[in-house]
Amino acid sequence: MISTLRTLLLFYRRHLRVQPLRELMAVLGVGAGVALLFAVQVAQSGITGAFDQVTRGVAGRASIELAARGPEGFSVRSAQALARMHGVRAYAPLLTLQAQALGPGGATGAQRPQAITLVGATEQVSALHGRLSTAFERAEQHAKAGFLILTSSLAQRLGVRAGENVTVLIDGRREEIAIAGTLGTRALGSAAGAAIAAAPLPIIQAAAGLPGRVSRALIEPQRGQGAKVRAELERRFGARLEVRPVSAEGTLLARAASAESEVSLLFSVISLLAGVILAYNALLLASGQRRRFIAYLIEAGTPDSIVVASLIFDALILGLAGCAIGLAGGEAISVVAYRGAPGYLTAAFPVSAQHIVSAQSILIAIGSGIAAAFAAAVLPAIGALRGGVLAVPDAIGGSLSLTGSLRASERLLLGGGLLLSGGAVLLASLAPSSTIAALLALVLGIMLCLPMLARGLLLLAGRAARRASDAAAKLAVAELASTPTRPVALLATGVIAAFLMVVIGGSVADVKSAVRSGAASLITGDSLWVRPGGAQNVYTTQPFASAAVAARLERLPLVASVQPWRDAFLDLERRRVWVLGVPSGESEQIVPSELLEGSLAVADARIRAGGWAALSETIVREEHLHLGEAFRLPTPTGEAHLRLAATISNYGWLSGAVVMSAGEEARLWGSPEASELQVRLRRGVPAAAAKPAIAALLRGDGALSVQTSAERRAEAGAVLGGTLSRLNDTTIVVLITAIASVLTLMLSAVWQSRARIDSLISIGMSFTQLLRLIFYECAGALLTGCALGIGVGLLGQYLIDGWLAQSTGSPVRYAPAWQLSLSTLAIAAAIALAGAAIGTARAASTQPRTAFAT
Amino acid sequence: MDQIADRSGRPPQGIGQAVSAAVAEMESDGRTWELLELEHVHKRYSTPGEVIHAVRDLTLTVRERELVALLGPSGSGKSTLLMLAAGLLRADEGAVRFEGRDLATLGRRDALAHRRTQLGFVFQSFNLTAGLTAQENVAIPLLMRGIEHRQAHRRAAQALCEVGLAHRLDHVPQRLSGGECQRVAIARALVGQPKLILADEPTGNLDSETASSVLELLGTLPARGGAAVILVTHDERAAARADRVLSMRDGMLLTQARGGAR
Repeated sequence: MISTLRTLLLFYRRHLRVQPLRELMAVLGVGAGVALLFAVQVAQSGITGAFDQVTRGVAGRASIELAARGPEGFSVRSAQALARMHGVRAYAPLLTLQAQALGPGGATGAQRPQAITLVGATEQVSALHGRLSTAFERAEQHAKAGFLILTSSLAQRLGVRAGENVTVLIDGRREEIAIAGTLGTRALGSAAGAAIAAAPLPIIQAAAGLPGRVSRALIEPQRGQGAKVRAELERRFGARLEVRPVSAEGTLLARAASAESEVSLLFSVISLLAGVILAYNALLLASGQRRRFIAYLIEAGTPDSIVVASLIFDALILGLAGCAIGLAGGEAISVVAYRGAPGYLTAAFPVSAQHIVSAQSILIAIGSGIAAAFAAAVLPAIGALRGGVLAVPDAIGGSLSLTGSLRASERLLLGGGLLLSGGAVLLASLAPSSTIAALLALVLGIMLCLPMLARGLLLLAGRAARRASDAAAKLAVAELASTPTRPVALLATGVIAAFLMVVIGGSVADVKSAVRSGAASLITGDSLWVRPGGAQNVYTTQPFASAAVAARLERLPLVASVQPWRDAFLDLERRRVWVLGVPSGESEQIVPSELLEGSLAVADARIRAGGWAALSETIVREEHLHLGEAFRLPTPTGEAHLRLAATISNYGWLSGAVVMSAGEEARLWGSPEASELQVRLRRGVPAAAAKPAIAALLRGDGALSVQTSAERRAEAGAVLGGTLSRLNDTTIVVLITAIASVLTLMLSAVWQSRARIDSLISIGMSFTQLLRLIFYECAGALLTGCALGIGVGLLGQYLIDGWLAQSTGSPVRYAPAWQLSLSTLAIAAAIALAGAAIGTARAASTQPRTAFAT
Repeated sequence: MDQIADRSGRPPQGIGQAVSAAVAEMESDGRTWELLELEHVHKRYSTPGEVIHAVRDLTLTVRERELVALLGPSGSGKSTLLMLAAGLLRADEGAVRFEGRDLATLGRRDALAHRRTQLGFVFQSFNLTAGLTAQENVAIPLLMRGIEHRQAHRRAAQALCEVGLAHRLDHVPQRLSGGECQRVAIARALVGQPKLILADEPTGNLDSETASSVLELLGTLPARGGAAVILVTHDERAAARADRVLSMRDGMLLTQARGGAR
């Protein structure tokens, strides 16, 4: 066993010595794929995993919760009634809300407000034995100096210590609260990274202006009484409150983030596939050399088992090295690029991203990496053993036949590739939900066609070069034809790199554009907008005491009118939706660009009249609704019976939107408070000029912000544009990997043909001729591959857009990524030129010794 | 070059013209001149922790139209000697002169012109381009020199005829035997009408019978084309066809003997 291992190590050391660049590139290819897969998983578990951790940490043994449907919460007396309910072992009322906080530097404007989750609880929470709630409760009991307990990371971000004050901006008010202490990882584990501030319930109620109100009650039923307790809760509170498992909000969060998760996963799987192909190319490039080694082993009488073990050992080393690099790279990407939670999620959920690396993420990444390495390492080796179409040795004796008819295996390969590609396009067009599988099939199909494509291209190039007086052109075409693995590998690398760049960059841009325009289209005209909170309140769902503010604003001579908008989040069974309450003074209740089905005029009139609402396509599809049909909406005042006025897009909130009149929403939410005021100015008064006067008037209200329409649009664009923007990091990693791969491939190709290049230098090839030769050899195949990859990428972008429109509910419109395509081609040309220059300089600077035998 | 100019009495206008002038003069009076001179040449290679003295104090003269066979074991410095003679390597000490001109004084462009116009190379592994026909392979050095496609191919066909491959012009190397490949390589070396052909183990990859015919062909080159030949080989039969036989070991020239050719 040990001697076998020693032999395998000896073989591998030999490969490493003979082809160090090839091995490095193969490892890099697998590593890049693993890195992306791992980073995406860590990023996703950083959001949903962190949320689940906090939920579990607070809820402890509780399994059911009563939750308010609106920001005003429900009476604490309802919660107290739980004490008398049969089957309830323990319960705890909580008031949790989203707010912003400023440390001591905030007063001077030196610090930007931090988004925080405020949790107010009573000592009853200890009975649930949640790690977090118990730790906070214990800290509160021991703290004498003040009231608020912060997680250590939040305290650090705010720059506060125990005994100091923190300013909390909540629903348009500013409250100073003293810090009692902080809790670190020893008490809270990884949840110490979350932005949570806890205090006794009365403190938070007072700060929020919600005396006697709570937002939820956690309930631990007695053993075996869960179903009965839940049924009783439904009977008593179901009309106005949500009765659900404590994990329900986590499920809603996962649903809201699912579009990003799915798209991220799709691209990381494609990237992993790309990594396999890049590694495959690297190994393919040396298949001739590998074939000779295998032949040597067989001739030397090495048992078949050792030859096979050698191949497996190579794959294992490649996989392990690739996984090691990939995990390290993925960790770096997740820390640097995926650090925070996306803005659109923090606006709707009390979530802050933490760095959570689960064993599952590591295992999936390692498993995928090893599988990729086996696919990449074993396939060319099998090809080398069987002498397949891709494994022609580099020496004289094997070449891509440019004159003979296609062999049966070649016809099969071409036919299979074309069939796979065509079938993939058809499948994705007919069933967008199968786009992921279809895209993978498309890429594989194109890869199968590449050897024959290379043959066709070389045939054309050969005809063009036949009458040419340029020795470099003649030699390049002849060389490529005689070593077909090289053009095929370069073609494949070009295809993969360009495909990924265009497909990811293009479709992400389309989604971002759709999401951005969805929210920005609401902000029309040259108005000023007044609302509490910062960018975190981008969906303007925090109500505030708007009536008094509106009255003061209307008294200003430059103000024409003030319109109250009343937006809120609402939990349906499977999704958290954004409810927009549009003021009656607004000329159109539905933004025309967001209407998908129905008459704008009819829908507008119906929504104004009340009893009607427009729903996002995703909700309509899920509920199987039709225009005019009645549906029920669970609101804070009970179940509302409404009818479907129109089908709309999601207005930039991926989980879906509901549009109704502001008056209707105020009635259903049982609160007249608006969440945003639109200040219309008198004719001729520019918003920018009026802004200082409005801001000066509101200074006493502290936490209200004033923005022009342009500023509001820019902020919405920045926050909502963050949707899927993390995928852009994927394209950067792909680009870096592709550049490294191409350069390594080119240098490796130059190194492999040293003897030929040395002989050409000896017989009088000049530096510029050599540069042209290497450029033709590498750039021709690479740029052709890029052009093909761009074509396939644009097709892929079209297919993915169809899928994204369905999965995100956004009106994703296909805008071919021409600019990105041209940039990709230009980058490829620059890389090819750089690679050729480096290769030429390297070849010309060394003595042409390899041409000589003695 | 200065020496050539002195002998002809005409100022040189370029290396090609100067060489032609010198050749014309020598042909007219029937004498042969020193074509290549290596004088007390040393060449060392530095590797980590070691300095290899590849050529030690080597002095050698090759005359015009002379066939010199260079024998010696692997690692004796033969390859380095060929590269020094071609100007591909610079001597650490001593001088390498071609027709009197010190190769060390040539700039990159002149060195390239020198290799293109004055030298021909024959390699052990032929170094033919697999995807090109025999005619195209032979035409490559001419195309590199900027000669037009049609003319280059016409001259390539002539060169192939001279080596007995008139019937193989359109064959790619894969369809030629080893001996035929080496003849194509010899035609490629000849096509530029060089003064000196450097043949590096040209029979190393050939069977005995084919090797004999290739050696015979090489042996006729000085007489037919007017080129001198340095033939590096392990094949003792080369001695029979050479004007002189040199032997190298450990970077030093051990013996110089008259060959059996003339």
